[in-house]
Amino acid sequence: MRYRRGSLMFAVITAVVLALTFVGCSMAYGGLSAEQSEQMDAAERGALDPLTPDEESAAERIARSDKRVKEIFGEREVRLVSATPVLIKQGESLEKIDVHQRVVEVVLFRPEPEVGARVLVNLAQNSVANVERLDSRQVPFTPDDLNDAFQLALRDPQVQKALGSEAQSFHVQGQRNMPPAAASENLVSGLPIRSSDPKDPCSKHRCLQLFFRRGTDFLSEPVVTVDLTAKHVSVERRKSK
Amino acid sequence: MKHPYFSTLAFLCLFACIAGGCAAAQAGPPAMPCSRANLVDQKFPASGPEITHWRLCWQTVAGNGLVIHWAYFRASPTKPWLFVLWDGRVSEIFVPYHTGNPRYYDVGFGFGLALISSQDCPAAQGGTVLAGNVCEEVRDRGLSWKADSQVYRGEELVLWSALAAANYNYVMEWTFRDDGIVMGRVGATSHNLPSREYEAHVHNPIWRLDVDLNGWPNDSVALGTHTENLPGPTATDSEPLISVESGMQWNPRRFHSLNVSDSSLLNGKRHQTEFQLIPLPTGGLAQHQEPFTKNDFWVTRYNPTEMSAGNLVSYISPPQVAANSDIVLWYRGSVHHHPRDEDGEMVKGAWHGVALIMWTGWMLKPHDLFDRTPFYP
Repeated sequence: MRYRRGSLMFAVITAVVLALTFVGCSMAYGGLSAEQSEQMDAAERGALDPLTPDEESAAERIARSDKRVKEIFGEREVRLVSATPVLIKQGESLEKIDVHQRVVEVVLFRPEPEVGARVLVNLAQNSVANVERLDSRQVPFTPDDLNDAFQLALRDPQVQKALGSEAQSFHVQGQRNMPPAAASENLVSGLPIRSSDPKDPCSKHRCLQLFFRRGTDFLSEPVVTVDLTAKHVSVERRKSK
Repeated sequence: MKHPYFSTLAFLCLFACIAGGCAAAQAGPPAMPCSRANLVDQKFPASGPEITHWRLCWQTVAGNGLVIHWAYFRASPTKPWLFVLWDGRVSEIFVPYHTGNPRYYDVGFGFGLALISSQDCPAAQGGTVLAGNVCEEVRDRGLSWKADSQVYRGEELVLWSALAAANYNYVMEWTFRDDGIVMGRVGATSHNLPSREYEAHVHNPIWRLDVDLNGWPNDSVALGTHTENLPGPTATDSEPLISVESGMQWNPRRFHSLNVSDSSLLNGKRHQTEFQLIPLPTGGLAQHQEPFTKNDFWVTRYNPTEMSAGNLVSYISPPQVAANSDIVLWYRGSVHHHPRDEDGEMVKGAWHGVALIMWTGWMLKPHDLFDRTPFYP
């Protein structure tokens, strides 16, 4: 009798231990089906995961509609420079960070007259957390700026002369995930330039230097500096070895 | 009297403990602010039982290129995860030419990344292409140590991408080694500057490293310093605390390093754990006219709006207390490019050729993190 009661108790203990072990291990090793797991992943996007096109559009829309942003830019043309998911430290410990929060740093720029803004958008709350006015020198250049610079350069007689009949065949190099340049493709690229000479307008203005590329080779001439702030184009003479 | 089921019960208890322990260890990985391809989780050795483990996020940011977030290291499967890095990125690449102009700020354009294919990142070499523009490699890194007939080969996880900056490509490489070392390198390559193909210049990448050892509060930085007590035969090492935000020059004869510690982080021998930022220059470090290039090291307090190396002087004016706080390290490396015939040649008015890659970088090395190296039997 004593042993029968013992057997019953043993069976119960065994069942409980095995059940707990099974539950523990299946939780640890991901007992969900692949489909359930995928659905969970979609809902559990990390704070720093790349933005979806919808998220990027929403962040830009929220930023542009903010009253403080409108006060900075007025009604003039405003361009999107970048939209990047960010994570800001809060509190005193990592455990308090919401690793799924979707906060987006949106940088906007108005080219005329030049001014920028960095806007922190909380996508979940559909709200703007912070707006910071940026000096034009703090705003990164984009393919829009490069395109503006190229259009200005194309109107310059020296540039037209240097590029000759090929001038109209050049186009601006894209920003992201650049494909390799085709052997026959004519591309324009640019680098931000800042002069150390205080008398040079490019010590204060937004200036880009343009380079012309035929396939994989860069043309040695012309090298064109475009002052986007003053809308001025200058062509550099070649330095020989 | 011993219960007849004593041994069976003991076995079940033991089984439950082992399974429970295994479940606890598996449930241990910290929550991360990234998922899927942007989350990298790598144990070492890559095959066989784990000795050490890295877990981190990466992100691509226009201009900055490949950015690392939330790097955790686990020194053994039974140890807790250690938070090491909140954010690591190349903040600026400043390129002045020897004649005084031009002076480029290559991060100032929101350049994107060049495409990466299996040719850049072959699977046979441990490579996996992530999102089309990042390469993840898990590979042998050569000897970790050798003692006569005993030897251990180390392994590393490398993430890299290439910023397509007009005529140049900057390869940005982040390495996470099995021994807890983090390394950062920038390699300059591609085409010499149109119209100034033969003019020497310097590429200065400046890294912003938000090191948050064991979390961000209570971190401090000391300047690791070696002194030869000349003309005598002795030498001493010291670590003066960097008490306020400041910039410093690196002196290779003093073996300068920036040593980060957290007041609550000790190893099993009760020694203060540090991660030491050690420059790995190739040839030298330049200084230029611009004030932010006057120093190689900078220590600032964390401020989420202070991301641009070109403004470093203003970030430390006036200097705030840096000890026992949330600190950010900055380091500037230099690639001195003296053009050579190997770079290419002029063919029909266009430059044909490519500058072979030239590197500069640093390492972040743990000191008194392990009680002893786990790679020795």
